[in-house]
Amino acid sequence: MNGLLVRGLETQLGNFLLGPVDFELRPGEVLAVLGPSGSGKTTLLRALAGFLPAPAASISLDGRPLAILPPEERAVGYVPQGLGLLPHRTVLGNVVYPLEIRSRPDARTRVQTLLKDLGLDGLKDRYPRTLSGGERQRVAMARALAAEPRWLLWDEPYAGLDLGARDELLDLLGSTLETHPLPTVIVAHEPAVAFSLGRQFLLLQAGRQRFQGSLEELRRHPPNAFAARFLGCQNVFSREELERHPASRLARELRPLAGPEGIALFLRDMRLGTGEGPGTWPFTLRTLLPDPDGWLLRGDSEGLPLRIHRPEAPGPLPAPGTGLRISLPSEALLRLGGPGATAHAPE
Amino acid sequence: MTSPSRPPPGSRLPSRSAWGSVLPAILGGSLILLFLLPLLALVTYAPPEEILQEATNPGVLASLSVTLLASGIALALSLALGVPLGYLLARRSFRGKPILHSVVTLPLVLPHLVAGLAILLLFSPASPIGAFAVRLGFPVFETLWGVVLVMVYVSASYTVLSSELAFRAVDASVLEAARSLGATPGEVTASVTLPLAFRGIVAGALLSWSRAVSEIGGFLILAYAVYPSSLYPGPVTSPISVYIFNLYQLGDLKGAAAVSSLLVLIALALFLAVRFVEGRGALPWARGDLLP
Repeated sequence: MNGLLVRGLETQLGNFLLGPVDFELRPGEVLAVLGPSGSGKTTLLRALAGFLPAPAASISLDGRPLAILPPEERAVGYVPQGLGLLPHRTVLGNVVYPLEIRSRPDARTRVQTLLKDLGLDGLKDRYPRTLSGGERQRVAMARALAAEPRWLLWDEPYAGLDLGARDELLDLLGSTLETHPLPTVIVAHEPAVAFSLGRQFLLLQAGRQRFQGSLEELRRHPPNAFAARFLGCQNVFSREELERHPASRLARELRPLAGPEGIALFLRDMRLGTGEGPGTWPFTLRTLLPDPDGWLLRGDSEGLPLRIHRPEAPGPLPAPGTGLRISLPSEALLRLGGPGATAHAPE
Repeated sequence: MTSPSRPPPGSRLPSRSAWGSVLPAILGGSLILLFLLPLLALVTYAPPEEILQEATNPGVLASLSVTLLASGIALALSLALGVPLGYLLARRSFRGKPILHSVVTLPLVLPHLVAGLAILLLFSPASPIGAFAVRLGFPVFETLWGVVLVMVYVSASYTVLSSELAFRAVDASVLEAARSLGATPGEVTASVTLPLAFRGIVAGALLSWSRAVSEIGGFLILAYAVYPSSLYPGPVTSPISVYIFNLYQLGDLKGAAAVSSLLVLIALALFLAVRFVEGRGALPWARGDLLP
């Protein structure tokens, strides 16, 4: 197969066990690795790059086995957390480093082209500590590409960048991946980054692979609360949490619809109204918070805490303490952890 | 208009920044005075012409040569043996590491007379190891090698511990990035680890050297006199600290102060030279860029 194939990757870091992890990526495909803190995302990247032993793993690139090779022979453009820029070298010194190691005669020409392409020409004599976060990211990208890698591993791209710098770099990485169509694995903490770059998604939880597939599959079968929150759900309930609110009619209705990992309610699909009727539930407003395109209403349905989005609209805002009604169309509900993700709305 | 960062006029509260710098400056300044005033008293006690006279005195020159030669060899040994140990302590996990740490720290807490006595007992010509050292051409008792041995014993810990701190401070992700870019472990050590740890290693080496030159306790037992041996043709002399002590014991306070001033000037010159070279980035391995 052309591309990256990973089968049965297992590794250990102290008491933490990761795996087994399996996935495959075609040239130019980007896999976004998701998961809560401590789930093993960085460990996975370090094992793929060859810094952690994974004796049982099969890792191959375009049919060539990599797992037995040391890190320096894996032809990987690895950008670790914190970028790993050489602090004692200038921008030029950093980008030329992989070519110096290989004693490449065309080092200077190649590096000049890369610096120009990534807008680093004017910064080549600066040291990493004098650069902004976005500039440092671009240096890391240029250096990784200078090594002429055949695949890319990127731990938390855009960490610590402001939104403008992040979007600029997302565009730059997107266009760079178009010019260099390499199998790429990124650890993504932010949904915006994951969804703009990733075509495949791998979700880790406590070292175990809980999901691997496309965004559509992730939307249809979110495996757990983390995935639901990553997809934008702000109302996520475990089965135990639903049990804890016996007085709530909504909780009682949701209980049989919940999957093994619970149920999630999409904000954007929940409707707010005042009329009583079948398919509507009481909602007591507690607080109102502004959000980018309207208001976030925090309250509860007979004790079950809920958040509801109200788009910006003319008319007075309800006051805290007001009793309202909500309706839940079927597309608002997501079963977590079981097959057939979308649940039916309670009638 | 009053600047918002300043206290309003008439405020009785000093600004936080004033308290934050004046108090430490007074306390720290007192310590600096304590460091400098005795030195000032020392270098002004003997007139400059007496210091110059001592600088050409064959007895002082022999003692200084032995001390500088021995401290140079001791420094080279401390670096050659101590930097790898510092690297292991910083970068590797192994059983018994805390014990090894204690062993490295031991010479720093041991009275140096005790260290001299211990080395004497191990290396005296009457002991099997001492006899073996004599057969190999490295007699220890009252030779240059004895001076070197004492110096390494009392000073190498600084090189080990400073190197360890320096290696520990090198970000592991930088090393991993370098390897994934194609560098072998050896190339990473040469092109990344050592340049980044360089300042810490130099700082430790300077401390080691200073400690070695200022040693006296161990010499009083093992190398009060230094007789000619393979590396030192003679005449019979003693390490400079012992030489100064002898002058003092004989009541020649001016002579002791003049030789001490000479030693202070040499140490100061060396420290300034290292700072100058370091500041200019003139050491090739301290620079990073191979291309202009």
